Amino acid sequence: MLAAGVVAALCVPIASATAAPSVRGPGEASTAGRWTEPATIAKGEITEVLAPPGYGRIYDETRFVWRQGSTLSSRLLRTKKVDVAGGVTAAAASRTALAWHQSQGSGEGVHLRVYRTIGSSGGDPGWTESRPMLLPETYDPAATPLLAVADDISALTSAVVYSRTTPTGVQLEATAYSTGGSSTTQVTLGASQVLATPGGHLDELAAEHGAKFIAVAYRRTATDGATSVVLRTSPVTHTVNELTWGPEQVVCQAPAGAAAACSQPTFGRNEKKQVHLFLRGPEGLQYRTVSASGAAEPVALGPATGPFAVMDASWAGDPGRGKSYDVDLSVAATRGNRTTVWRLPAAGPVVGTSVRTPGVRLLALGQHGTGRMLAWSDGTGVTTWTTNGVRQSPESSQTSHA
Amino acid sequence: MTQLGVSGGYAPRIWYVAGAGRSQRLATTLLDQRAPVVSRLRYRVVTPRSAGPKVTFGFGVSDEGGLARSVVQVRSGPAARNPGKWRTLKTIAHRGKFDAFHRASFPVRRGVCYGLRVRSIDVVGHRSAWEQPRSGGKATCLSLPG
Repeated sequence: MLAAGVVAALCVPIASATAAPSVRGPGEASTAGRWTEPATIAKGEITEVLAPPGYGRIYDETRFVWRQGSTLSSRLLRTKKVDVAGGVTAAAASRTALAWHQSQGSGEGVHLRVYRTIGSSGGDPGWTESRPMLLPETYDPAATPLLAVADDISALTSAVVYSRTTPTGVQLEATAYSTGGSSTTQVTLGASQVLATPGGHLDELAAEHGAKFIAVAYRRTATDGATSVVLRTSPVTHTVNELTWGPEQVVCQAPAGAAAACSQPTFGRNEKKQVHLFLRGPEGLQYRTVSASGAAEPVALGPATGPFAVMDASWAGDPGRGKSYDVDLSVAATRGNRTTVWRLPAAGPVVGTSVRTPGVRLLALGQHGTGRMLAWSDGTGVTTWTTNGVRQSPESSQTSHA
Repeated sequence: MTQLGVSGGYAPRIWYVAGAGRSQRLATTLLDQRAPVVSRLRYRVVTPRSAGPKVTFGFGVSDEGGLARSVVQVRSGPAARNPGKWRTLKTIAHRGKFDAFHRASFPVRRGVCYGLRVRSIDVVGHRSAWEQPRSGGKATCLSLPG
């Protein structure tokens, strides 16, 4: 059952972009720019790429973090690869931190590194001097560990959320941490707290930092096959031992055998640091505004049969040109051969733009000046759409990749 | 292709995982939308004791997609007359750097007016405008005082 907000959202205008792809060759010019030759960051079987947490403040500062098997590695575009840790079973990157489950090596447990985000220069900027930290004293990793970091550049407390196997099953725990500011190398940890006790199967996790609270969402599949997405929130202060988690709030429920289960809880943050929780529910893609006291009524964005992607509101400076760009929180959702890109500003209407995206299997959203860039792949190449038109990246015309 | 993402802001950068098994690679490409920016073009006419007079100059250049090369040209002629044709003094290879600063010099003769200009080309072929030392909006004549 969806609430009144649904109607409002469904009535917003959808501008249909006539985005018939004018296919371009590799490196070919368009009115909006040219793609550079692809640079290889890593070779070999890539288990996962963690979203680059260090958005490039200068041209070569974008940090790539990826996992190859049990090895977690990192590099900037112009630096050599650095192996961060071995024996890694799961990893999560956020705006300012990197966390990983380590099942062997120098220290079993959940490790946390916080990036220095201000004042770095030269070499491999970004890492703080803080050593990785072993969080739980009695660590026993789950078969498929879950991990998420809710952080912010402010001096307020952040939190790392992780799964742990106990004698009665897998449970979720959260540990607050504080760096006392972006330039501080000391990381102070709070006591770990249980967020979800064993029961059913936990397989999806997301966490986000609001202006003054932390939100955690996870998916639980009950033994009878029913799925639910649960939200928990806690206010934050400057003190790591002051997290007070509210009760579990079920924000989506689907019975066993339902055509579409509840899945993919994903947070997005607008320019006011207001948090929205997006998820795929039985009625399609929806979002709820989240506050310290929990989630508001859901707003439907319509059916989404294909992938969806969320991009936080962002700001980017333009070195050398003295400009800066702001972009609204956005979400893109695919239905059939079309993808709708929605803008969700803190004030003003939700506006969607529809783009033709045939055969889309992978979807990503990014910033393009003051507009958005939608990138999608049919499995063989990448095509992008921006407010300036459609073009293909160089890879798209190369040998087909399975 | 198994993973895809977009990062950055002023110039979007795509990353993706292509290929399969051991032949997989994580690659990235950037949408370079603009020509390089040449800045901080400075010059000085000096007369060292041990050598003849010369113009020393320096400039900075940056580009989001990477720099290919910069070209420095000079021309010379009698003051207030046709200053002659531009000729390339030097070409500097940047090898994909995003930022660079370069210093150089060239000899000058008394009573001659020298023009200096610099432009840079990025890795995808965008060319900056020619940048010249200016005074009051006009290109400056570089010459020995007196």
